[in-house]
Amino acid sequence: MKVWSAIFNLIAVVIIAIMLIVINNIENTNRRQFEELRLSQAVDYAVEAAFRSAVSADSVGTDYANNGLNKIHLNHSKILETFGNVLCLSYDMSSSEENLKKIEDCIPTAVLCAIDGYYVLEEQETDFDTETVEGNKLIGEDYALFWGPKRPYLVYDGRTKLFTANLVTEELTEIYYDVNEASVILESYKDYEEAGYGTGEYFEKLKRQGISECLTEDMNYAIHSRNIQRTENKLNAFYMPSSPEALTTINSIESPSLVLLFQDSSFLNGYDIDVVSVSGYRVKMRSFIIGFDQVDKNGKVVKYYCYAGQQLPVNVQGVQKFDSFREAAEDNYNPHYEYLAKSTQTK
Amino acid sequence: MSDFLNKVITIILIFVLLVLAPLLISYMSTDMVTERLILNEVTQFIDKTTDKATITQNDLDDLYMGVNAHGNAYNVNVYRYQLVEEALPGKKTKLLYLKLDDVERLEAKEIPVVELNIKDVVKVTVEESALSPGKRLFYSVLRVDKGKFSFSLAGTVR
Repeated sequence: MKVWSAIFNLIAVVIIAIMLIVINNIENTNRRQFEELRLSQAVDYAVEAAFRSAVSADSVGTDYANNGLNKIHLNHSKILETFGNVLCLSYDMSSSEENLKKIEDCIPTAVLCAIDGYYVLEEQETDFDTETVEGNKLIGEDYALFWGPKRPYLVYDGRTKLFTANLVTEELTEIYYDVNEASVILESYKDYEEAGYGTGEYFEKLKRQGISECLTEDMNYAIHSRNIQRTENKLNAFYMPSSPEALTTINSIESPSLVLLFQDSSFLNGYDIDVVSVSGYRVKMRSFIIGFDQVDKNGKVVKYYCYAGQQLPVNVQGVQKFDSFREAAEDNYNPHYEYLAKSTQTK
Repeated sequence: MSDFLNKVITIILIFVLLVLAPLLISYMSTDMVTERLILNEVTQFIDKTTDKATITQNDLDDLYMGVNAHGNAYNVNVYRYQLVEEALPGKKTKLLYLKLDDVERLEAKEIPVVELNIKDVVKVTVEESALSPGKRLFYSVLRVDKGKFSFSLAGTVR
């Protein structure tokens, strides 16, 4: 009986030990999942801040064509710094150069899409031997991320023609290979349609596919270049987006956008999170403010403002355009809470 | 004597297996859900305040109540950071986020509302104020738990 009792106790102790190991693993998994969620959210906020730092808009000669997207300007000079600063704030880190550099090391690449071209974040050498008389000589130790030159969205029509595309307009710029006939012609879908090359839908599909391929290929190339460096330093290779054959490899880019990948960020939370956070923001429309006069129940004319694109009543008068709520308020317009709560009609 | 000791050990083991183990598992799953709910509360607060570009006492009360409504007690702090750009030698500039005391002044009722500028950052810090005895036992003796739960999250005003 004593022996059986001892055996029973021994089994119970083993079960408790197994249980502790399992519970420890569950706790680790829970914490890791929480950190993944937190990282994803923090990267989202940081990318949004970075994109905001890049976007500016003309306030002169504003118009409604293409939701005002033609007037959007992008400046990438502060994107990385803003991204790093906001991420540092999320993780209670000081925004020192060392921390910002560590955050940069976790960015495989990023793409900033403008109306007529895009910039890719690439790794370049920074250590030039300036003492060499014959010119700068690469040493190959220090690397940093830089935005590459602006590249056009190249679109092939599958046969011979090569175009550069514009994100928001229907313009295609045809490129000729022949050096002697190095001419560039601006044409729209309509012109091509009339010339019998194909329908507008065909060119639109071609454009979307071409843009997606351009971005995926260049991102993959930038990541591949970084991976060569990382493999030599025995670091994990960065994830590469899937093959560019698919039409929607990267979600359809239709307006100025920022896409940023973030990976291998164990220094942030102590967990080796091998999940890639992809974050992207885009300008949906240039938000205009509309001021208008409306007659209230007492027959009095009241000045109201709301966003352009929000459903206005038919009988409004005295429509004015403003760039901001402040401008409208300074002109004695009041917020129209009913219309402001409605969604804007966008493309 | 050894028979008696055996019985005592058996009873202790049975207690551990039948009472402590289910309690521990239940506590862990509750904790897991709580942490995610708190993250959601913080995300909602940041989204709300960065959308409307103001922080009121009601917003703060909602956040404090929401975070502390899940069983444990947490210290929640909200900070506002103002973005400034400082000139460096060589025509370069550096971004700086200055921490302002607007939220403290709002809580002290010195100002009625905190008005935020575009590109300001709202940061929320959550820290568990005290460990429950059970959690303390698991953390300090068994090293199963990770200690006090705390995290921060920051978002930019839109």
